[in-house]
Amino acid sequence: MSQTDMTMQASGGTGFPMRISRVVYPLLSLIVIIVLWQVVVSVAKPAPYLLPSPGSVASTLISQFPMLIYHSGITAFETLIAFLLSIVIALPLAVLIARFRWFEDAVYPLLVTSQAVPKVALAPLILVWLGFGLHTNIVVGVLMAFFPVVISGVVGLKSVPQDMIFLGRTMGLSQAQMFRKIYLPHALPSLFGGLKVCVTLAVVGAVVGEFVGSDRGLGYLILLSSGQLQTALMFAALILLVLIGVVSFAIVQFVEARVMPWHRSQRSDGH
Amino acid sequence: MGKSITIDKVSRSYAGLEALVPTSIDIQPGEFLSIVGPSGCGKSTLLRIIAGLDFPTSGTLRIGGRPVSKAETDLGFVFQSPVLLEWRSVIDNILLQAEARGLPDAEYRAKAKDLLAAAGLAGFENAYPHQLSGGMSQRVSVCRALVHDPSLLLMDEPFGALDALTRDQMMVDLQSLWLRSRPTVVFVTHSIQEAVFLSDRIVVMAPRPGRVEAVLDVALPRRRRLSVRGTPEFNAIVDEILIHFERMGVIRDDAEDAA
Ligand SMILES: Nc1ncnc2c1ncn2[C@@H]1O[C@H](COP(=O)(O)OP(=O)(O)OP(=O)(O)O)[C@@H](O)[C@H]1O
Ligand SMILES: [Mg+2]
Repeated sequence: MSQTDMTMQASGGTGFPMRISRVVYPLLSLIVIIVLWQVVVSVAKPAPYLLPSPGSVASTLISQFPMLIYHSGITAFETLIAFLLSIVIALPLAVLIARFRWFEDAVYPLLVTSQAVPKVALAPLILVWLGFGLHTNIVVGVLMAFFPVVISGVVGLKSVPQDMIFLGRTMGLSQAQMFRKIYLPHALPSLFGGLKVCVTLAVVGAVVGEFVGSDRGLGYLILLSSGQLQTALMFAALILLVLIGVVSFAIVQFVEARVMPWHRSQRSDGH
Repeated sequence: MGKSITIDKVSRSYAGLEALVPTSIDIQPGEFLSIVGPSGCGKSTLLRIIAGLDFPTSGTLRIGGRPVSKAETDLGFVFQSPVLLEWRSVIDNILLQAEARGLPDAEYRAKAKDLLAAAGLAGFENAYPHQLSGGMSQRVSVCRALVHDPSLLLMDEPFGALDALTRDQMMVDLQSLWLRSRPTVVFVTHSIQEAVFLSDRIVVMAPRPGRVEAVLDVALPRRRRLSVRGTPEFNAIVDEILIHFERMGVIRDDAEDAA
């Protein structure tokens, strides 16, 4: 009893300062970058269309806030839908590939080969097929983002140890129970690895879609401001894009910590 | 009460390589049978076949007179490694047995707690597998195999990862448990002492290809105390097994604690 209590305390004890340093250090490096940026602008005095000052980017962020938020909302929405659709498409594929040999043989090589096609190059084709609109950007996002989920899902499902499967069989678990109680939880750590890659790629995909043909979203805004040499606006849009990427990644990570607190990736003691 | 196991000319080959030559063993209902033998002689293979997890290349296997055609479920299996589900707490790992069989949670929760306490793991019910040592994990997996009172218990070196003292304790506890509900036990071990202490009969196996070298009766009276290990009767059986091992040309680490 006392031994469990001690391990609990130990991990709780190291957990708190860890959490603070995790916020403080990235903030510090961010401040350093902004200061350096300001120094470069003050010393080299580049033309504002080449490198605007942090101050002018900040004031653009404030003055154009409603417009920026509108475009961010569009991109965030596309990202979210692309991410969810990726999961909906990738999970059944992963299960079928891991479960049925014939399905693996039939689909896996095709899937892997298809990943050799640069998705950026596919985006114009998708535009031709699906026309102008958010759905095209979402489809490009899905095309970019779903594959890592398939891979990580297959790896997770296939790495269940043989004895664990035997254990389930001695308990008389049905196929469905086997999946729910053994395969799925065992695959979660690997799967979440794929989901984290997926969510960042979903952002990229949405923006690529917007680049190729859209009248909304941060990708569109970046293209537009680039054409008009409004570099401060472009920077502001980029910052929001980074925020979308970071926040969506953090959300996946948060869910991961909730879903599998037992996993070693979630423990501060790291063993 | 346990069921009989009839192993009738059972053999197993993997990719043409014979892991087990045709082997016949009759195990009585409620018998405690140990299998000793060097690494790679097919002990785990035989256990898996008895459990219906693997199938013989030839021969037939009957449990309680009925041919085995799929995985047995009235059974507790202690695998060579603990195979705990790391996403479940200790008690939930054990209760998976009850869950899978639709047995009442409250009743089996109490049973699981008793078993854990007997295994020296009181207070660890809510710990997660990563918080346990190797020996503790193995003890949890023994509890998991026992909680539903199976009539057949298959144990693959269950005490291999334990220190000598815990090992003695587990041996004594296993004997008590077995005397209480008399399941049929097939117990694989590298420790000759363990086999002699626990068993009614001992199967000595030889490797490459795996086969039965000898079957020995252990006629020591029950309940056996740890001190039985000092008696001449006990040591006579140990020596007999050692002679078989020497003739096979296998000398194992475990042989020294039998000396
Ligand atoms: N699934 C398998 N595929 C191929 N060969 C196997 C398989 N399982 C076992 N074997 C072979 O069968 C033989 C017996 O293996 P087994 O695991 O039964 O040995 P063991 O007596 O349990 O050994 P140990 O004491 O080391 O656990 C070995 O030579 C092994 O290589
Ligand atoms: Mg083995």
